[in-house]
Amino acid sequence: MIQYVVDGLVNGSIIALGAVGLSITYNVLRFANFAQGEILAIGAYISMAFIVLMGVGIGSIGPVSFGWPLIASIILSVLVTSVVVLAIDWLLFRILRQRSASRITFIIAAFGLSLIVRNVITLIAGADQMFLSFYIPKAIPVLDNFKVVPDDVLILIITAICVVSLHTFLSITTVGKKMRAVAENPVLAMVNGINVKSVVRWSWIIGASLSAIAGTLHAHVTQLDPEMGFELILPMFAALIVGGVTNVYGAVLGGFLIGLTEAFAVAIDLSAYRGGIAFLIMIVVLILRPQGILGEKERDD
Amino acid sequence: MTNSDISSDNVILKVTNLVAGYQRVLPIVIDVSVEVVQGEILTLLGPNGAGKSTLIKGICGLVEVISGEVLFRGENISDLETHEIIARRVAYVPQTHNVFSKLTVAHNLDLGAISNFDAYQDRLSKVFDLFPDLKKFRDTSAGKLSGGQRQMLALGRALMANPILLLIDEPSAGLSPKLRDQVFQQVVQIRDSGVTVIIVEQNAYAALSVSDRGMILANGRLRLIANAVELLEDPKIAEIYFGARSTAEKS
Amino acid sequence: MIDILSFVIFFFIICSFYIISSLGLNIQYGFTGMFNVGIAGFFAVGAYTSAILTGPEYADTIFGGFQLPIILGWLCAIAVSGLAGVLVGLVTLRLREDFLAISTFGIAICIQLVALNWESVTRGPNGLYAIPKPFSRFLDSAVMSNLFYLIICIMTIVAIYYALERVVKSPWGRVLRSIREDEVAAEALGKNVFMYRLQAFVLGCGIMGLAGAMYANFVRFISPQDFLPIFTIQVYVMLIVGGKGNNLGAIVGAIVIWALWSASDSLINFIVAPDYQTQAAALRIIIVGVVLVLMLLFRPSGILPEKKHLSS
Repeated sequence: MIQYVVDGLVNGSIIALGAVGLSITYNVLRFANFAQGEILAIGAYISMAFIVLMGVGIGSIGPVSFGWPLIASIILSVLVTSVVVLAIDWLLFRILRQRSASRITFIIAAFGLSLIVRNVITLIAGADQMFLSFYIPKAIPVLDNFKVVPDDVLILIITAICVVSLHTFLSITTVGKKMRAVAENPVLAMVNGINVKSVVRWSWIIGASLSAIAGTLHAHVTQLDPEMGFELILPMFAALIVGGVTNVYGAVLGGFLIGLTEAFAVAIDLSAYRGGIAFLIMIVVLILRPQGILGEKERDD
Repeated sequence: MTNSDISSDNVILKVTNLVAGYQRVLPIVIDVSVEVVQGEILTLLGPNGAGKSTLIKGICGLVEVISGEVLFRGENISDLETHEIIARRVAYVPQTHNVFSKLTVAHNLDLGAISNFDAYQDRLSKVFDLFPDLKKFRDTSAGKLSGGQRQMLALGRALMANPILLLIDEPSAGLSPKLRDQVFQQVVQIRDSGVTVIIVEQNAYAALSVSDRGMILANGRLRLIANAVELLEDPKIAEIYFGARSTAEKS
Repeated sequence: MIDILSFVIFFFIICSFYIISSLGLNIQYGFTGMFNVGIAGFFAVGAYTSAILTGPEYADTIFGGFQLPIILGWLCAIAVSGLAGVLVGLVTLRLREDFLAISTFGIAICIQLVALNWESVTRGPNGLYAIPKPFSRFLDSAVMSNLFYLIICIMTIVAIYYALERVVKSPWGRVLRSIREDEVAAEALGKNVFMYRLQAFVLGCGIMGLAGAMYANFVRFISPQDFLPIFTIQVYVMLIVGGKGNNLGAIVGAIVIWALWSASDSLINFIVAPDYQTQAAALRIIIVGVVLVLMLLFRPSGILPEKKHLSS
C-alpha cells in the first residue's frame, strides 16, 4: 500500500508542477491553456536531446540515478523551453491579445497549438517511445518492511524546492508582486505603472521552467512519447480545478490529490480508467464547490 | 473657449484635436482640445456616454488615441503605453475595481509605488496623514473595506506614485452625500499639495464647487469650458447640461 | 470512369459525416458561443448506439444483437447522444467557458476509455464489426449501394440545414445569439439563459450523434481508434474556415477541409517513401493545425462570415 502512496506522490509532483504552469497562464493570461501538456513534452524532449548530445547517460550520485548530466540537461531544458514558449507566445497569443480575441478563441488556438506541437515532436523524434536512461528503480529498505526508491524521494525534494522557490518568488520579488497584481486586475495593474507585457513574459518563463522540470522528471520515471503531454493535460486540469483556479498553491494541492487518487485507482485494479477518475473528481468538485478547495469565489468582472 | 487667459508656461497638459475610442471606426472622443494648468482642479461634466471617462483613459493610454496629440509637460505621450505614461508621474483612479481586493491595504499602497520606491516612507506618511483610516486598516484586505474607505485607498494608492497629474474617474459614485463631500475635500487637499487634478463627475454641483474650471462634453465633443463659478451661476447652462437632476441636487 | 465515380461518391459520403457534425457544432459554438471540445465523444456515442442496436449478435458481448431497422438505430443514436448532452450540459453549462471546454474535453476522453474498456458491450479495442449498411441486401454492387447512401446523406444534410436555418431565424435562435453576444444582458431581459444554452447544446449533441450513427452504418466497423481528439479539431477547423454562425459556411468549410485532407493524403502516399509514413501523417496534422491557427489569427470570421441579423 505504501508503494502506491509513494507512486501517487511522485506522479502528483509532476501533475502539481505542470498544474502550476496552467494556473499561472489561467490567472495572468486568462485562458485555459490546452497546450500546457505539450510544454511538458517539449521540456522532456529537449532534456532528452541534451542527454543524447552529451552521450554519457544520465549519471548517478550515490544511490540516486540522477547524475550531473541529467541535472545539466534539466537546466538547459528550462532555458530552451522558456525560449520556445516565448516564441510561441510571440507568434500566436501575442497577436490574439492585440486583437482582443475572445477567451474561446484563445482556447481553440491553444488546442490547435497542442496538436501542432505533438506532431512536430513526432516529425522530429518519431512516434516511438524513448527513454532518458535504462534505469531500473532499486528500492532501499528504510524501515522494517518499508522500502523506498531513492529517485522517488529526490523527485519529491525537487518538487518541494520548486514550490518553495515559487512561493518566495511570488511573495518577495517585485516581479512576483506585479504578477499577483496583474492576476487580480490587469487594468489596475497597468495604472499602477506595471508593464503588463513584461509580466506576461515572466509568467510564460515561470510556467515553462516548471513544466520543463516536470516533463523531464516524468520522462525519467516513465518514458517519452509524443502523446505524453496530451495524457497529462486532463489530470493537470483536474488538479487546477480541484485545488481552486484562483490559487496557485491550490494547483499544487490538487496535483497531489489527483496523483494519489490515480495511484489508488491502480491499487484497486481500475488502472484502465485512470484518466477518467481524475475527471470524475473534477466534476464532483465543479458541482459541489466550483471555486475549488483553496479557491475564492469568482469576482464578477 | 476661455483658454486665452492662461499663460502657456503653466500649461501642464495640452490635448490637441484628440480622437480616441475602442474601435477606429467608432471613436468616442471626437476632436477635443484642452489645456490644463498646473495646480488646478478641472472637472469633466456631461451626460452618460459623452466620452468623459474615455477622454481621461485616452490621456493615460488605456484607450487608443486614434488621432490628435497629448502633450504632457511638453512631451507627446499619445503613443506611449500606460505603464510608460504612469512612469512620467500621471496617476489614474478607475471608477470601479479600483483596489486589489484580495490584497491588504498596505500591499495595495506598495503597488502604487512599485515603479519608483524613492522616498517611499515620506509618501506613505503623507497618504496616512490625508487618510488616517488607511493607517488603521493597513493590514486588512481591501475587499473588506467600506465603499468610502475603498475610495480613499484608491486615491491613496494613486498618490503613492507621487503624481504630478491625477486623473480620477467618478470618485463619488455610490457614496453618500456626506462621504462625497469628504472625498472632494480630500481632492482639494491633494491639489493644495501641488498635484493637478482632472475629475470626471456626475454630481455637477458638488464637483464644481471645489473645482477651478469645468468642461462639458456631449456626444464626444467639447461643448464648453469655463471657470467653475461661471458654470455654477449660469442658470441656462444648468438647464441645458445638468438637466432636472441637478436642480434637485441644488435644493 | 467507374473508379473515379466511386471515389467521388465515397469522398462525399465521408464528407457528409463531417458536414453534419459541423452543423451540430455550429448551433453550439457558432450561434450560442459554447465551446464543446467533446465532439468526438458525442459522435462516438451515436456510432456505438446505432452499431449495437442495428448490429448482429456477437459471441463475446452481453448486450446486443437487436438487429433493429437502421432508421430506428439512428433515431436512438440521436436520442442517446442528446441524453448524454443533457447530462453533460446540466453539470457544465452553468460554468464559465473555460470549464465547459475542460469538462467536455474530459468527457470525450472518458467516452473513449469506456469504449476501450467496456469489452462486454463494445468489444473494446477489437471494435464492432458487420454493422449493417442500408440497401446492401438489395444492391449487390458496392457503387450502387454507396450511391444510395450518398443520396440519404444529402437528404439528411438538406433536412438538417433547412431545419437549422428555420431554428436560428426563429425567436429562439435570436435569443441564442443574444446570449452569445452578451449573456448578462440576455439574463436581464428575463431569459433563462441556462435553459436556452442547454437546449442548444443538446440539439447540437443529437446532430453529432446522428453523424456518428451514419458513420457506423456506412463503414460497418467501428473501434475506439475512430474517435480520437483529432476528429474534434477537424470539425472546428471546418466550421471556422467555413464561417462560424453560418450554416452554409459550416457545409462549405467541411467540404474544403475534407478535400484538402484527402488530397494531402493521396499526395503524401504518392510522394513519401513508405518508411516515412509516420512523419508524413504528422505533417498532415500539422498542416490542419496551422490552418486553424492562421484562420484564427487572420480571418476569424471564415470564408462565409455570419450574416448580420437585424436583431444584433
